[in-house]
Amino acid sequence: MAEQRRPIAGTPIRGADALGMGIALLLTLLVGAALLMLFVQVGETSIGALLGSAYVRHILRFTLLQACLSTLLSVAFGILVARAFAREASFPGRRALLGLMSLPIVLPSLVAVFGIIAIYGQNGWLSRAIAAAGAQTKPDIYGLGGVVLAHVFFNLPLAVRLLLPGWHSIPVESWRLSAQLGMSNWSVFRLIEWPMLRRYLPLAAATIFMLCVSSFAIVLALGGGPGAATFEVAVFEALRFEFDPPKAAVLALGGLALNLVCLALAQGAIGDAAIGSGWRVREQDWGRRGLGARLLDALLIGAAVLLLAGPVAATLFDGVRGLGQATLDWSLVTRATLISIGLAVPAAIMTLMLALPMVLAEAAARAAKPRRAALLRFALILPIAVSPMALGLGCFLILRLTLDGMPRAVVGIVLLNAVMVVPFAAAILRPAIDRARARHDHLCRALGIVGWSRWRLIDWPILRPSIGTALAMAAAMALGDLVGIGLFGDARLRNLTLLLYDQLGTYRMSGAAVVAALLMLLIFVLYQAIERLVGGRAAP
Amino acid sequence: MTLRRYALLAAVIATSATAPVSASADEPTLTIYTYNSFIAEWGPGPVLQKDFEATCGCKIEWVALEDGAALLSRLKLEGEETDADIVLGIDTNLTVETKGTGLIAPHDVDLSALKLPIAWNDADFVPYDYGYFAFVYDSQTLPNPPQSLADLATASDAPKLIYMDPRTSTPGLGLLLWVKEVLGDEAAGAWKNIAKKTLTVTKGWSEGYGLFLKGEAPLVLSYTTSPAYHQMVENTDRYKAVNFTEGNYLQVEVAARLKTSHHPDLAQKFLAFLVSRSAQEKIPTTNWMYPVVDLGDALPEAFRKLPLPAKTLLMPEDKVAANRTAWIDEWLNSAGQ
Repeated sequence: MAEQRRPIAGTPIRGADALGMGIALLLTLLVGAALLMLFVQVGETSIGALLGSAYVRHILRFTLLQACLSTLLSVAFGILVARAFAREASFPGRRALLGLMSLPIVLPSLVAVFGIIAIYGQNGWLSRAIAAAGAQTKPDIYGLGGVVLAHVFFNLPLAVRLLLPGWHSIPVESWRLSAQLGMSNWSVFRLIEWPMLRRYLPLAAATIFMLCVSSFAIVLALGGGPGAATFEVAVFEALRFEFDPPKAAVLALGGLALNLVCLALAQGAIGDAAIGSGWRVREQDWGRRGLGARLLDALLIGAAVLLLAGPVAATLFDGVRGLGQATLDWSLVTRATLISIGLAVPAAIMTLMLALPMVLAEAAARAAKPRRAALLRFALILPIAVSPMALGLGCFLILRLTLDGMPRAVVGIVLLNAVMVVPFAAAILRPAIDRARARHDHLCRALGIVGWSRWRLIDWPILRPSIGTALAMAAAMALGDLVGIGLFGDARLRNLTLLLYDQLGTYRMSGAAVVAALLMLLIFVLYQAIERLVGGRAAP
Repeated sequence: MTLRRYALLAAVIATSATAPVSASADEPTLTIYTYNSFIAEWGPGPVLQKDFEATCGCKIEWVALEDGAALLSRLKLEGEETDADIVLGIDTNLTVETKGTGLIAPHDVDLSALKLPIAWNDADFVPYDYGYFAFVYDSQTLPNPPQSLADLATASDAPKLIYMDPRTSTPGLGLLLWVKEVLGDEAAGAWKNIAKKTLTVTKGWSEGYGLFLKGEAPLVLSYTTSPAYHQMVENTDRYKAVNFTEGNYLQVEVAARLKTSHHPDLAQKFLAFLVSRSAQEKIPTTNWMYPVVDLGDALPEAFRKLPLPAKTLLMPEDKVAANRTAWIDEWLNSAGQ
């Protein structure tokens, strides 16, 4: 019996393992080559002196402090909210709320900063409400508090999006059993939910940590002073004003080392979730829970929505108000919108083509070849473990060797966006792939269903909702691209984000407000459309 | 291969989304590197391009990056293989380093008719606009703004202010040099005091000025010409600039042609066009800076009414290049702990 339950090594589709490993190698090579391209430039830094300097130590301290705090809060709150969402599996508006959850992470940082300020700033709604109530105090978010608040705004919803599929991977049989045995809440958490979390939480936390490490404009804007700076500020400074690409590469490697320590910790914490082979995942049983428990769920979801909806509503509000004041050239907006979509959709498809084989190979290697699985996980998270600026510039230098002009810009923008979203797509796909394998591997082997027919008949129906979500997220993130589009600077490729920044850079606040609101709506609509179109009705 | 195919597909989609570009084979293309807002639809780029292309028998192709520092950094990366014929948008603090790349060719443009706050006899760089850094204040919430840098650095009851990080932005670097030029050895102490009144230090001008307009602080680092925008476009006198008694720090934006250009004559022609009266007339209301020629009555009234600084401050560029890092460290140690 024990023999029979052993997980089957290898993906069911021939060659998929090799494909996944091949892509992982290419991705690692690309990142390595990008950093190498910076190293071979002329610079004057002595590496030892740099890493030992008080400045770098100070930056390291602040980077760690804010990243740890932000990650801890996002993840802790994220677990509670995801759990509430998992239990309340069918209430009206659930899907729209989850759509809202996918919004913050893809918003351009300036839009988010202004949204947060509109609520919590010196002159924000909260401050005015306090003043109206007659109190003298003003909220002062500038400093560590503001940085962490902004990061929680970005990453709490991400945590929910990354963890919720984990709950969906728990088969309904487990819940039934726990109910029949009369398990306490704590026992349910310890015996059913915690093992699942041990599989998905470490990587979700690592992802959030890395995003906080490379956060930059937000940290400066809300940090309240030069003391609040992250590694990325130093990378930026090295590339711009000091023009010392090797120094930037060393700093980027420093950041990478920090992230790899975090990843190693995460890898060590990953547990092997015993994913049952039950059939149904929709939890009808939850409706029978007591009123108190359901109220708590509502409270948690409500709190998260309140945190997110404030800045989002403020951005929309400012946009509508801006409509009356701004003199916007709508043909320009239309063109920028088309360019945004035209670049985002291919990038999203490419993200999926990179991520899916790697996640399939990782799932296949997990039991029999743990080291290969760890390597794949490393490659899957690498794109956000490296300084985005260093990675971008390095890719630009690589592409310069072979391409020119407009094709270079298009390839570069699509490639960069596709690569940078791979970790998120992977996190979304992983639980569904685990579930598909746990349920069907043995049966398919017994029946001899392999290759394409297995994919079409068995895997695709299960994976489809997650593929839809992964594609939607990738497209939404690419829609808000600034790194890629700003790097290549082709005057014919000006997307909405750039239009927004151009307006901000030339006093046109109301025009910028309109474009910000538009961009947010577009992101939301495109996300929903792709998730429904590709993911089908069963999408989470 | 799939990667390439998708890239190609993306290229097709993206090109079909943009306006068709007609490039006849015999027309030379002049590639100009500049910063983003210069080629915004309402910026100087499009109108200058139209005027120049009408007479030059050529086509202008823009490559736009974030700011002047990004331009210099890109030139250094590309070296002699750069596609740029002209680089436009470097500011005075970076000209020495730009020249240091060995890529810049003399401009051969007669600049004798130019009118700038300082004498300009640089053989390589053509100035095309200038402005003075200044603190802009919201007169509705701050009727009595500080009148001098010394005020700002000492008075304890001064209002909250926003400025930009000298590590990441040109205005930020401008303020750093301004403080150093005026206060010298007392700069460190001044930064300690300024830190107490600082709401936040942003990455770039856009964030800082945006926060200011949202009412987060009544005082922000910007330009003396900023109020002209609010007057001309928004019809409001609410936002005003203070000219400090010690004087204001000058920023001159320049353009230059490259040695590696395949069209040196065309590039020279463009630089000459850039300082022509007809091009300069476009600058004030598109880039919101002062023109470098005397436009007389053609200068918009809002600009003519702006008070001029008591004194123009500008540090020699080589001094800036030699001390930048040390002064940033001083600022970090005083303002950043």
